[in-house]
Amino acid sequence: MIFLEGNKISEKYKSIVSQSWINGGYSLDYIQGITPDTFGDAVKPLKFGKKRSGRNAGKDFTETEKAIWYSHMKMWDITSRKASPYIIIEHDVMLLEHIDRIDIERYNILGLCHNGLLSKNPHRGYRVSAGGAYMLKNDIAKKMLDELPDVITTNSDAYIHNYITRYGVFKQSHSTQLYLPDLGTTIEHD
Amino acid sequence: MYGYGKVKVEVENIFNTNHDFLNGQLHSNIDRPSGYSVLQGPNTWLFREQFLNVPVHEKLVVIWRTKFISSTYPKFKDSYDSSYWDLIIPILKMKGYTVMEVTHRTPISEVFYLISRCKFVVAYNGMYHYISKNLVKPMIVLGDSSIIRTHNPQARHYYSPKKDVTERSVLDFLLNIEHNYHKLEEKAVTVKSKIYPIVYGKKYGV
Repeated sequence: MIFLEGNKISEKYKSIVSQSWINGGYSLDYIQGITPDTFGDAVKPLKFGKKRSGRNAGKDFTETEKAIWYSHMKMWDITSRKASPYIIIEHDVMLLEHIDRIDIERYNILGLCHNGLLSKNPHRGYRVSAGGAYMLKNDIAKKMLDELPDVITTNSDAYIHNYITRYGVFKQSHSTQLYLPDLGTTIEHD
Repeated sequence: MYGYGKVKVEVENIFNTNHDFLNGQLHSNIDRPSGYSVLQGPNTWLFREQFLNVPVHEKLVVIWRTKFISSTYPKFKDSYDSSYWDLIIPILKMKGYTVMEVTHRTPISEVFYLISRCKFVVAYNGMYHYISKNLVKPMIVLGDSSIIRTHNPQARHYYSPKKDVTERSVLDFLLNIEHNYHKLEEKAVTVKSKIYPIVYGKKYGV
């Protein structure tokens, strides 16, 4: 699980959703995410351009969006050096349904998360969340690192989404991103 | 069971009866004068007091939902569709509860055992709601009809996502159940305080 130690929002979400994964039979490794203050710890520096598409096309990446990029890269780097697959989850994702072993054996990457009723914007309907939770094996993780573009023009979600659809499948009903209005979120989108 | 108020009940066991239970004779001789099949006055009955005071499993929640109903049923019972139940159950589990789902196939002894010993109930308006009511269990009832207040006065009511403060009100209540549970408990205690003197002839808690 990617989380931000010392960040009250992140710590709170982590404390809420962790039990759902423990109930599902998983042991959790908590990996410190990269923050704007720790960009220097990134696997390698990225060059960010203007966003190419989406609601914020033409705008610069926010510092937290960059941090999410670096945090996921950190997870790909760890996964690329492990023999066992990892399920990479963000700190606010709760497990809803058991994940079949056969899916983990069959695919090299698997999208496991959606945004729905409990998301920040439920009016947008039920939709996949590529970066929220995904199962990843080392060969795809390595590929994702090797094929990073020279200039980043999409959010990390779009990049991960691309690999899930090319090399795996979405089974997004397994988990959901949780947004608590009283708690807020750690990410800012412009 | 005990009754109170205008209705005095005598229970007589009848075997091989010819009553037509499906056509208004279910409450034979204790119907309201107009003959309607619901009892006169508040439908307030309780089980024997000992069943209201069995030890509670702090982490046991009993649920029932419309998913396993094989016959037709009024639509108001389905105001919260499966997309809600698919979240309610994992949320309860995430909160550390053991969630026991009862259906029409569950033996009634099992249902009674579970409801009497659970911490609280989350259910649609139907099936075992009178067992829950007669045990005055803390409860959340879902259903888009004011009848749910009559059936389960001791419960917290959610009518439909569109009538709630937000579409996720019931989910938020459960996501914060550790702080909200007292609201369920207080409502049940209020009902007990009101009915205990009438049914059991003593104050609740004495």
